[in-house]
Amino acid sequence: MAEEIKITMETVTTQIPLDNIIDPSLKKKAKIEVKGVKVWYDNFNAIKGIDMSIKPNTVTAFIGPSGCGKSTFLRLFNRMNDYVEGFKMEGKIKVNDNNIYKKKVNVEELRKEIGMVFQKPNPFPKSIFENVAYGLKIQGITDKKLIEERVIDCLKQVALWDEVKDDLKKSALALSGGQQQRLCIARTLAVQPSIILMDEPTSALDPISTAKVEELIFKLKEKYTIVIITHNMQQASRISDYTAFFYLGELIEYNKTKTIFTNPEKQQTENYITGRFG
Amino acid sequence: MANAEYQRNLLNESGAEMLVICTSQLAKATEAFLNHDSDLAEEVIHTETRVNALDLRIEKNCEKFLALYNPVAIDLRFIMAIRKINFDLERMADHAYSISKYVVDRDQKISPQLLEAVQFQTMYDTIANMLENITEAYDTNDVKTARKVFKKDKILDKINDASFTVLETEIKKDTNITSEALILFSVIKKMERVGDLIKNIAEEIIFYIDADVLKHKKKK
Repeated sequence: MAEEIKITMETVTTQIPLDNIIDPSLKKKAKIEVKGVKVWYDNFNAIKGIDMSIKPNTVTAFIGPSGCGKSTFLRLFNRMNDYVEGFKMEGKIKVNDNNIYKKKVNVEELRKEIGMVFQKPNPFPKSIFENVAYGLKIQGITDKKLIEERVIDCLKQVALWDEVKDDLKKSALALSGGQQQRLCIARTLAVQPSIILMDEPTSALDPISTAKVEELIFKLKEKYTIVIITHNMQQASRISDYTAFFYLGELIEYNKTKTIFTNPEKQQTENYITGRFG
Repeated sequence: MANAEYQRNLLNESGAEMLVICTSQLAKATEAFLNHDSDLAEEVIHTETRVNALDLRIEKNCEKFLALYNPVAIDLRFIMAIRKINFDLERMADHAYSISKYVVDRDQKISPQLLEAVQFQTMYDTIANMLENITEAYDTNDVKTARKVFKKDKILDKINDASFTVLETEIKKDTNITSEALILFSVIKKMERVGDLIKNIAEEIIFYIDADVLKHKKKK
C-alpha cells in the first residue's frame, strides 16, 4: 500500500532546508516522478492511480475535458491542494528523487523551486519593478544591486524589458493582459525555480499575447521543466514535447506530442483531440 | 454531426467521385485505343475539364479544412491522404487524356497481333482489377484489399520491361509497323505509370487508416 498522507497545517509549516528537497547540482535539470498517485476530495476520487515520469527541460502538456483531474494533478506538484478541505492523497511524487510529500518538507521552499502561473494574470497592485522583486524581498534578500539585476534579467527573459524599461515604477495593473501575464512569469522566474507549472496561462489572452507567451515557453524550456494545462489542442501540439491526456481521473495516454497528435494509441485520445467527445 | 465531420464526409464523397470519374476515363481511353474509336476518345478529352474542375474543388476544400478545422491524428492523415490521392487520380486521368489524344490525332489503329505480342489486354485487365481493389479499399477502409495492388503492379512492371524487346523484334520483322509500335510503346509506358499511381493511392489509404508509411519501402 502506498504511503497515505493526511495534510495538516502542522506538516505545511514545518521547516526543513531547501537543499534536502532539491539537490542544487540538479537544480536546472528537474525531473518529476509520480508513482501510484490517488487523490480524494472527501469521498470523491479525483485521481485514480497515476504513474508518470516528466523529463527535465521539456514542456509537458496536460489535456483533457473539464473535470478530468488535470488541474488537481498539476497542483499536486507544488502542493497547492494541501489547503483544500477534504483533500487526501496516496502515492509518491518525487522531484529529483526527493519525495515532496514527506512530512517535513517546507512547502514555501518547495514553491520557490516549483513556480506556478495561473489562468488569469494576477500581478500585485504594486509597480512593475516591485512585482518582480517581491519574491526576492520576502526571501530576505536586501542587496539592491542583486535585486535590480535579477529584475532586469527576468524581464528580459520574458521579453518584457523593451516594453517596460522606461516605466518600471508604473503600476503593473496598467499593463495589458498579455504584458501582465509575462510579468507574472517574470515574477515566478525571479525566485529561480527549476519547474514552472502553468494552468491555462494564455486562455485569457489575445492571439498576439498568446504567441508571445508560447514563444517564451519554448525559450524557457532550455532552463526549466515546464508543465502546462491547456484546452487549446493546437497550443499543446505547438509548444509541448510530451502530452498527457486525462479522462475521469485517469491518465489515458502519455506520449511524445508528435505521436499523440498524429497517431495516438488509444481511441479515447483520438476522439478527444479530434473533437469527437469531451 | 459536427461541422468538421460534415465537411470531412463531403471531402470523402468528392474523393470517391474523383475515383469513379478517373477510373471511367481510363477505361474509356483504353477502349477507344483498342477499338480506334475517336468518338469515345473525344468524350474522354471533353470530360478532362470535369476532372480538372473536381481536382481544383477537392484541393480547395482540403485547404479550407486544414485552415478552419486544424485537423489532427486520423483527421490529419485523412486530409493528407485525400490530397495525394486526388493528385494521383488527376495524373491518371491525364494519362487517359494523352492516350485519347493519340487516338484522335493519329489515325493509327494498332493491330491485334501487336497488342497480343505485348500482352496489352493483360496489362489493362490488371489495371482494371487494381482499380477495383482501391475503390473497394477506399469505400470500406479496408487495408487488406488495398495491399493487394502491390503484387499486381509487378505484373505491369514485367509487361513494361518486356515491351521494348518485343516491339523491337516486331519492328525488325516489318518496319511498316514502326509508327504503331511507337504509339503502343508510349501507351504501355503510360499504363505502367498508371499502375504506379494506383500503388501510391493504396499507400495513401493504408497511411490514412493504419498510420503506416509505406512510401519507398521495398517490402509492402
